[in-house]
Amino acid sequence: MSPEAQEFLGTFASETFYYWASVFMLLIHAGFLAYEGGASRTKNVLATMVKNLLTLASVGLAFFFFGWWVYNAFPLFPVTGGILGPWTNPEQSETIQSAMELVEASYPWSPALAPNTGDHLTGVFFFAFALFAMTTASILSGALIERVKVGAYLVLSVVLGAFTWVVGAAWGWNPFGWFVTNLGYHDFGCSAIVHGISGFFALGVLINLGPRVGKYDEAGNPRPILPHNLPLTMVGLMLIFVGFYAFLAACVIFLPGYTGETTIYGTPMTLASIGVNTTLALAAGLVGAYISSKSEPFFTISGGLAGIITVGAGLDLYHPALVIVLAFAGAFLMPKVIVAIEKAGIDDAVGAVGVHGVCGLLGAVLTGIFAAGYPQGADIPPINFVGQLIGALVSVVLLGFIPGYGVSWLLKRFNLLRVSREEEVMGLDIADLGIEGYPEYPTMTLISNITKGVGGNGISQAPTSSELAMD
Amino acid sequence: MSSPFSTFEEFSAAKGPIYTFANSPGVITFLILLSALISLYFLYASFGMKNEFAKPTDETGAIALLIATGVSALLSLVPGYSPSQRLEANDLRPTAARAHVSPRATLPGVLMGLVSMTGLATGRNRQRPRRRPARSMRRRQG
Repeated sequence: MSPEAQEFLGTFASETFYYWASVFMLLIHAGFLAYEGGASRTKNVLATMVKNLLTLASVGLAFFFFGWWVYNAFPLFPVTGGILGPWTNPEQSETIQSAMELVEASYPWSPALAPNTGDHLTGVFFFAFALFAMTTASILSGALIERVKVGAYLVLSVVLGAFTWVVGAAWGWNPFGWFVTNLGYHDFGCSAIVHGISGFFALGVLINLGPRVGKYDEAGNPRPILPHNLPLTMVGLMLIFVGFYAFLAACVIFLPGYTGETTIYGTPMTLASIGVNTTLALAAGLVGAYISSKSEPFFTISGGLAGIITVGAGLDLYHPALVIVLAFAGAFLMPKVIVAIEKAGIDDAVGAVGVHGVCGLLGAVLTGIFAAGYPQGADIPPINFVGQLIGALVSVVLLGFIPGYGVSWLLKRFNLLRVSREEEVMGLDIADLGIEGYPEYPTMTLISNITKGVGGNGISQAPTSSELAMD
Repeated sequence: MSSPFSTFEEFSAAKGPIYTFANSPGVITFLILLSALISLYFLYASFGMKNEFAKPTDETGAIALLIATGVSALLSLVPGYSPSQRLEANDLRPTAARAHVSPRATLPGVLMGLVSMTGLATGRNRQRPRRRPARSMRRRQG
């Protein structure tokens, strides 16, 4: 084989790896679609799924226009430098010179993103990051189902998916990021950067959005609004698990000329360890949530996700036995957090704050304890508890909760956040789309019209749309 | 510190274990035991999950015995664990000559675990015989 062919083989290996990892990451979205659709009621199933589907459009386009640039332009801002762009002089320092090569490749007009035989990798990294961005926004989508306006959700998805989490990634998931260079922050699987930010962003939005009609009784006690298709929700989560393997694989860096795999921070790792640790985190997470929730199906399957997120930040370093213990603990905690949030009057339809927000925050902080002392570079502090805590808190509060609360508050002020009570009672399938998800089947509305009262199993259900309409 | 490395040069050039506590086998042993306990507790808990799990069930001892028997049965499969296998290891006869003996040496232990598992499951499902409806009731249904 000629040296040119051998060199190209290395390029092709990287290009192919990230391409297919990103394709498999799309399963996360197929999973979220099924998960949210199943978690909604029959009157909202189509609107819920369409809203989730549109995430691919809103975030995909916004990520092309500015999200990809934000990732490359914000690592130094505001601690070690400014925002990098066409106005930046690359001669200022070696760091800026290296960073500017990536910035210039991330403008929408950059030749690097278009078909270009001189650059095989910028496009696949854009692809992978765009899928990360869509995942982050999809987490928000589930929490808001059955009452948010589609337009409001799309605005929120752009803010979260193409800006705030990307700033978090620039700071804490980028070798030039000031979280990394100044604090020694380490978040291999994006526990706080993706999950923490999106979970707390969702919390901020939920405070302004308010609970679904009928979620709380007069005394403020929560009532169950049951998923219309729990099996679909469970299949959705299984798809998310599959996508997560790809997501975490895409966090491994292997570039042409490399003699080993590294993390985004340049520390050594193996793809095999991700396979082992993700599998064990999934298993232990299911166990933790199963025991904690006393075998409640929704919590149990969410436990797999909670387990992976809890160990995500240190997945490249943890011993498998440590993964089991931590994933179990995180997933055991998760149902308690979700119940506490519900009792506090926040209607998080899919438990996004508990699963993603709290487990993500926990995951980043735990790395400061259980992976403390790992060196990350010549002039970079080793992994430490304070660095992890600061990085995680800045992520979830400054880039998660505050923007989520602020943007949703603005939308609420202009009456753009929530659908009207009438539309909510009627169901968003009819209100938004003009068609029902199950036109040929007897829906709960029809059954409740016939039975007029307590559910067949003797358990009092949340008021149905027809009852509320009569009210 | 959980890191086995003190400098980045050492870490980046590592050609071996890089995981947390790689230099503290005691911690790893403890974590493996803890994770094994979690796994066993999971099996135990799954039997009484819907029966107010916080309260110990009447069958706590039986379930613990089942798990212990199952684990010991599985251990008997580990080469060199059971006395019969140790004897077998010292046997210098050709493998073909011993082939018919070895399954009998390991299977009883495994089977004991499986049989006790079946027995317990049967015990748990045992219910009071359903009382036949009174004749007057049957007549009314008819």
